[in-house]
Amino acid sequence: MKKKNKRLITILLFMALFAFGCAILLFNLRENLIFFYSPTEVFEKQIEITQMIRVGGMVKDESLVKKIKTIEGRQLEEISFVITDFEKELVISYIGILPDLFKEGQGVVVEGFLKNVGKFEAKTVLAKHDENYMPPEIKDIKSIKDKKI
Amino acid sequence: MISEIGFVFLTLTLVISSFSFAQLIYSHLNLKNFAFNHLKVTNLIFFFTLSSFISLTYSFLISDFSLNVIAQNSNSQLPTIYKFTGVWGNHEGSILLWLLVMTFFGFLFSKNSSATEEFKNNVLKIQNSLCFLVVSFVIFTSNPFEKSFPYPIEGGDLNPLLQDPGLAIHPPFLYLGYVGFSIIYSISVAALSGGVKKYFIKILKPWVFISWIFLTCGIGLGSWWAYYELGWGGFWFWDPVENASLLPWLTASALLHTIVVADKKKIFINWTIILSILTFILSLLGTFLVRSGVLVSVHAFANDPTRGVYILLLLTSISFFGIFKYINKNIQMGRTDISLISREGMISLNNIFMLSLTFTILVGTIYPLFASVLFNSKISVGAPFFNSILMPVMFPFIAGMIIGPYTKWGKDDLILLLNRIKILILCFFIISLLVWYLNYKTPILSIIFIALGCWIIFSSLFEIFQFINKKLRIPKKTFAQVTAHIGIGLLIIGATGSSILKQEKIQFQEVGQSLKIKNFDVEFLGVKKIEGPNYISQMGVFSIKKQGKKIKILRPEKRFYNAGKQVTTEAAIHSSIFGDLYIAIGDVHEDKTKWTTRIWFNPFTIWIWIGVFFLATGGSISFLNSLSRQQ
Repeated sequence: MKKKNKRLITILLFMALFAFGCAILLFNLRENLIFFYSPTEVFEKQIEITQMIRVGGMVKDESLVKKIKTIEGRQLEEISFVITDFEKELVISYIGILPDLFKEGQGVVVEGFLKNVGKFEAKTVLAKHDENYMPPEIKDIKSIKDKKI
Repeated sequence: MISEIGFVFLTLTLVISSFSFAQLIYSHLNLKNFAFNHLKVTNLIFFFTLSSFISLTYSFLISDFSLNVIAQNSNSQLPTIYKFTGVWGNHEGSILLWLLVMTFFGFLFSKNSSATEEFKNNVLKIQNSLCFLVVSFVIFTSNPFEKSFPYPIEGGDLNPLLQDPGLAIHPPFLYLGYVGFSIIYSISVAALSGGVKKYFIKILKPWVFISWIFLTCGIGLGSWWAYYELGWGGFWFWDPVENASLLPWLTASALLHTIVVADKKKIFINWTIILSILTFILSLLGTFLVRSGVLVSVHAFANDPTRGVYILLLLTSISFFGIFKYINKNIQMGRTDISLISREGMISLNNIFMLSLTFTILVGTIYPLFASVLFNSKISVGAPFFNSILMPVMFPFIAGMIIGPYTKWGKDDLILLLNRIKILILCFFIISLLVWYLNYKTPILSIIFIALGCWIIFSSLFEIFQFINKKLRIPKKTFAQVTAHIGIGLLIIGATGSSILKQEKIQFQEVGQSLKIKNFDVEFLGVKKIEGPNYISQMGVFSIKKQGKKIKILRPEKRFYNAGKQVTTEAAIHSSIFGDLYIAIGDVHEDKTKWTTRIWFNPFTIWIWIGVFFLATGGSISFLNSLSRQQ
């Protein structure tokens, strides 16, 4: 009986610990989720400017512009391009080196913050390893799917 | 012609391995069992798969564009080495390599195990059945010998990112690790049916070590490749594909510790079997995540969703079989109460932490998949999630890692234990003060983690010192454990340096302009045009000075590959024990005098690779030790 009790307590203790761990886990998970939106959704939904999000779509042809910007005495290249889902368009600005496989007319996913209506400041332009790879998120945007067919 | 022969060999593999599969099914239907020699099947399917793989390799080398995979992933201008590595630079070929490794492990087991013939037969029955499942996957969904119509004169290109020596050896190592767990699964599941004369843990042990070593090297090589080839300045991004390889590594590391106890004390046998099965399931899950393209990953390649369904079926059937055998087990398990302050207790703590980490990373990795199915929302889990969970777990983990090796088997006393390591604790204070003094300007978190890394290294060295002090011979086991733990210490220091302490500068740099980063002066000398065997490169030339003294010329490149019309970045790195100076070059400005340059200083990065080397060395010592003890 005594041994059985001891085991019961151990199991309960473990379950409590496990539940506690899961609670922390889920709380952390919720804090760190990054949502993905299509350009149309960006306009439809109220998105906080402090919230990091991902936006994906096709890079509009001939929309890539490079400008020089001076920040803290250093000259930087500010890149801007337009992402479209063939319904709405979003202007993306980015400082950095674009991934090797970035091309106009292809799909792209960017991560960053919404500045104001129709403008987005990207912290990262997500790279890919394969020219033919299309992120499933972009593939699933309805208007892009329709256009492809 | 050669390729047709290759396909014939592959079909033969399918046919012959199906005998083993049929017998496995038959023996579970409670029908009268028939005797069957699975060893012969193992030998045959290994040689057939090998022949098939050789014919595919030969077809790649002679650029036989009548095969679809070669027409799409190789061309005649490719340097020979990349024609060769191109064999596994595509889905079909890499799955064939997977099959080859699987049959190879079965073959090795049939030749080199001290198990009885009967047990061998049982293990190989399962291993051959696994091969049957994989070979049918190869033939029906990803046949590398598929013909292309019409027959092209010139092929496409091997993805330029894969045209690199690092990636040439990364997949085989990773597969040797992933697939090595298949034999561990087979041994464990076979042991569940009973009939093992010899203690099966001894048979299992070397296979655990060898697979773990390969997986460690495979992950290490992969992150090394990502570090210098992608030009992102980092080595780990918590990307789903990276996480997928880490999951079986964590459970295998837990298994590595448990099996030592299981071997010595004949306890935790149940747990060893569960971990073995779990590790192989996670390897398959990793393959599923990588190959099906269900997750958004920066390392993903274009893929075909139907293959995902097949791998998922494979995954569930193999898991179910493992669980089914576990429930109906016919083997005696020892059971004893263990105290926490003992070697056994510390190792169970290690397992709890390892599995918590596995669970956390698993949740973080597949949560987006659930969210998209259940709530139809598209989300991803960012790196901060993994860091925020990993960091607090590291503290008790490291504490256990330091105390663990000093605890005694059976039962130990906390006071006596602390008394034994009091000099060590004193040294920890000195080390911490020293680290703090040297880095007092840097973030507190980095000081803590670097100090902890040093603690691990120092406490491991102290173990060796104790043996030398008592003029005792150092046991191989201790030596292996010390080497591997030093590796973890180095890894922590390296990872801390190259994440928290990283410095980055991005700007337009004019020719002749000099920039300061850390204590380096980086002068941009200009850009040269270079012609490679199958690419044209724009090579930036940077002169690196340290305290006014010229030390090195660095040449980062931007390569343009003719065949596929693709661009790749080749970073240039100056490594030293204190850190890496890492330069990547971007686009030119319209006025042709300025280029975008991205310069990083990544402290202690080299210690990551040295740490991985130590881990693998530690594993190798254990492996050789367990082999010699098996006889």
